Amino acid sequence: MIIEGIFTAPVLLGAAGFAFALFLAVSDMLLEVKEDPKVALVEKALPGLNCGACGFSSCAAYAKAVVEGAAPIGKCTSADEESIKFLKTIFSSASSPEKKVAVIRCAGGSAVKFPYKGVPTCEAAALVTEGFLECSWGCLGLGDCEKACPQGAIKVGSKGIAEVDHSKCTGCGLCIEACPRGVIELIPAARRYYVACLSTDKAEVRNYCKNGCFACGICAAKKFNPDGVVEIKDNLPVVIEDKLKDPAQLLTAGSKCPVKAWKEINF
Amino acid sequence: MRPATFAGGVHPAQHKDSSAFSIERLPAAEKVYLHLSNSCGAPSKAVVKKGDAVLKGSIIAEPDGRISAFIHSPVSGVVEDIKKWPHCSGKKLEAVIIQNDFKDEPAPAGNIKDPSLLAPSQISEIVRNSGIVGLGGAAFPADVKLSPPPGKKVTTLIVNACECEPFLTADESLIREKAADIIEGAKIAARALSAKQIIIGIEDNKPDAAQELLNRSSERIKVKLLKTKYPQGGEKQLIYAVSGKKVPMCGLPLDVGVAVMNVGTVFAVYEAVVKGKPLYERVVTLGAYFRKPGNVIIPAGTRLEDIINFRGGLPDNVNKIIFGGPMMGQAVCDMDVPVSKATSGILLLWGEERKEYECLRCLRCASVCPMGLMPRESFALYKAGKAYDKAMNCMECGACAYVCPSGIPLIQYLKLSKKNLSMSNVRLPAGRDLTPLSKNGS
Amino acid sequence: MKREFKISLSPHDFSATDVPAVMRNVVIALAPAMAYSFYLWGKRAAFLYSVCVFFAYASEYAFIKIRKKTFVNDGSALVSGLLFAMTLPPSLPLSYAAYGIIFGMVFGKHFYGGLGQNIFNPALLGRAFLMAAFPAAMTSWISPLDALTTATPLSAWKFSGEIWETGKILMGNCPGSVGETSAVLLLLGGAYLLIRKIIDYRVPLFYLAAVGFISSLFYFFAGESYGSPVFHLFSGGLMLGAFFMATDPVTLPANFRGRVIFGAGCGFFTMLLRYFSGFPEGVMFSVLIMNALAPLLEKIPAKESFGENNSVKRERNR
Repeated sequence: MIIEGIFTAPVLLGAAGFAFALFLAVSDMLLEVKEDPKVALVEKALPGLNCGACGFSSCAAYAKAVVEGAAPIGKCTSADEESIKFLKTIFSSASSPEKKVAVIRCAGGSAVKFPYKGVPTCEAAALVTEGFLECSWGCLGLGDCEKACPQGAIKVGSKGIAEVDHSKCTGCGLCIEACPRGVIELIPAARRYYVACLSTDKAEVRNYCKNGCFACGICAAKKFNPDGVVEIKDNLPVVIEDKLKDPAQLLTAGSKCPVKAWKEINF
Repeated sequence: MRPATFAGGVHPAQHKDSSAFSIERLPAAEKVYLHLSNSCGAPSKAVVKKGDAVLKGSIIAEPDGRISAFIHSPVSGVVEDIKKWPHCSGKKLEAVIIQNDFKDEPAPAGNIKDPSLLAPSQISEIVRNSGIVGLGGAAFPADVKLSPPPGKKVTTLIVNACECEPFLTADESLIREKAADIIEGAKIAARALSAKQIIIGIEDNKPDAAQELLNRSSERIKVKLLKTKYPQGGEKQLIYAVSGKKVPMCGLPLDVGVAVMNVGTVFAVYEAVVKGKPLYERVVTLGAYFRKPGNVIIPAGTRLEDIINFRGGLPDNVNKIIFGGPMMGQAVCDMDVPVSKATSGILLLWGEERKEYECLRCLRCASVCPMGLMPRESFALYKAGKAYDKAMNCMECGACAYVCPSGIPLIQYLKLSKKNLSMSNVRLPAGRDLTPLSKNGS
Repeated sequence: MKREFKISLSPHDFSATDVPAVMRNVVIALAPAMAYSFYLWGKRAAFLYSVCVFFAYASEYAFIKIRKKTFVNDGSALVSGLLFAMTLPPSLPLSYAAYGIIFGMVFGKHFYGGLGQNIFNPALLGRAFLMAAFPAAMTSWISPLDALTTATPLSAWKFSGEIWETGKILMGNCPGSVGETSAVLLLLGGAYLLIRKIIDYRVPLFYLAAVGFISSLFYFFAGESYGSPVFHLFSGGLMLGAFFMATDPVTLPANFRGRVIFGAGCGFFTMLLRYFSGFPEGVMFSVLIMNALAPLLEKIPAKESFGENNSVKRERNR
């Protein structure tokens, strides 16, 4: 009895298993969905971050759109040179997008209005009387952008504000969406220099922030800014992109800044 | 049987000590600071320039769009400047600063007509020109309420005399002293709305004030005593308690044929229509640790520091200043902030830090929510990166955060859910699939 | 005069009932039954309570330090320790009690992330562990005052068909776990918690209603040997379970409708186990089973919020 059971059980189960395997194998062959092999290739070349900067929900969706011709190659801001080159070998016409990086337009240093207690996100802190800083533009430093960054390029540093590691930044722009203060901006990486302040206050800035731009106008002065690449608008220096040919123009303009509000991208 | 109250709610300590004081008048300050965004909706447009002379009651700003209001000067003097000035929301907003000349020259009043001869549209025009906004807190322009869109009919005007917030007694003292005028104002407002019935809802913790109103009630003007419970004065709660009608989610009182006005607003309507006086001052409760508490008529735009100095200075045992009541009021930290038309009280408090513990899932928040929400979900879903789909129905009364034994800032989480739901590019997905609200937006 | 003022979102006033106050109220509610257990079991009860509370705190403190968090005394360890001790047989060796509460606190609470995160009631999980590890010690009972080996009313009913006098069961002058015997005093404590609104009335109400309903059905239709509803309601750990164990909010579904089902389900499983399982008592396992089902019960759609139905109608009309 027992011996018989030992034999019949594996034989029966084995036979059943084989039958099911056969069924699966046959149905796999019959029901196979043909996919363009290019889609898999494109997807492999993409960074696979699913950051959404291209406007599609995932890299796979973008890859499909590229292959179907519904989207151009250049939409991916995170793809490195090599993968662009690789994509170009698959599709003849593709232009690489202008490389952009995110910059934090705040250098920290604003006085604190009141000690904040509550939900520890920037988004939540911004709801309580417009944030806990005297400066109503400044970075709150609770790290919403840090959480949003798929590259791990943003860290809230020792100064209590977010800092971007530009060598890691791919310019996807997710941090801009995450920031309730709008203190992050995408600038062309080639520009190299930016103003780390957004306060439109003039002299009052000095009352609450030691690093704030108070629109002294030195950077826009003829002496340091002969080509007029910098203009003061709304009490802030603005870079006129059309006139900008060489980032060195900005370097000379910004070098005399009394509060060192002009910062350089750190590659 | 009709309910005399609503489901849920809390019973915070009343602290209505200042109800013992009768209304007095605060002297005008040297300068007044009138923010252009003085009502809900669009900020008004200034019609005066730096250096212009203004009279008491003359217009200094006009509405910019339908949901916006006129602003009148509470003093006579000279416009010193128009610049950014701290607002009680914490922002710095454009404000007209007027240097008081202490002459108190009134602006010439328009000719006053007998209110019973005025057409409804004329009444709401006077209300608009008098800069009347809802004095309950939201500062919604009153004339918009008084002229319902075509097709909508208002059958009942409910006058909100609940004043359910602890500490506040401004409305109570106003009813006690001006009940006849309030009734008259309610009649005028009802005339503008062509409403057949007026119901005044008042909590049963103000027997004197309620008696004043009851003495003047009639077939058309009823006074309904309501249970003392917070937030009895919430618009939807009041309508439900008084009439048994439920205002639909994301709907307006208009949808159930009702208009709700605060007693202060109704009184302002009376003053505007019968006496031709625009709204530039209001009764404010100065409560809690004020050296001299009371119910005081304060000109709009008076700076907090001036008010405190007029009332004996700032006591040492104060670490929190609140504009409004303790449940929904705004904490301010800047002594330069002026009172606005919407400020119903100023409280000087000693606020202890609420210790935060883990959520026990006890659902006290849900059992007190007057809107039948699950406030806990906004907290749990936010931690999971989602928004609470029904948060749009929340009116931020604070009952949930009041009872939470874990001290979780639920109002903040609910606000976050709301913010994320109302953003056009919804960053956080709604927590559930059943989201009639997130589609409606609001 | 530059003074610092506190800023926070509204509300600026809070009720006095915070988490430690909740726990304090539970301890107050337990006090009468605890006092009675000192009378019944004397030193044994005192030792069991102190050992359980000590190890509850010790394991909680140790685990929180291992996780490098700050220890906050919210009183939940005290409640867990006391409740756990109340469910133990008075003759249980103290070392076993220590194992049980350590298991309950570590595996039942802190492995899930501490207070507010646990799925199972830590005290009951500790007891279930002891049931599995030391079944003999967990099922041997002594009679109160003279400490002779005997059977509890429930096991006497189950295994030998004897039914105790109702009066003795009500007062609690009968063998059983340390703190479970006096139904009247536990009811008193439960009433206190209900009046102070510390616990959700739905859970004990539907728990006891389900037990009463099911036992009535059996008593009146299947025969008196199933035991009367009064006997089932007041014997064993039902009162302790219904008012103090099942009502632990952390392990309840965060949904009012779910809580009704939770209570009724506890009653159903309790009676199922009492009638048909090998154990005479089923409160512990039934609460643990329903604890496990709580996340599922949470999926029941909540009651519609104020005016929500109207808005749906409005949309249809458009």
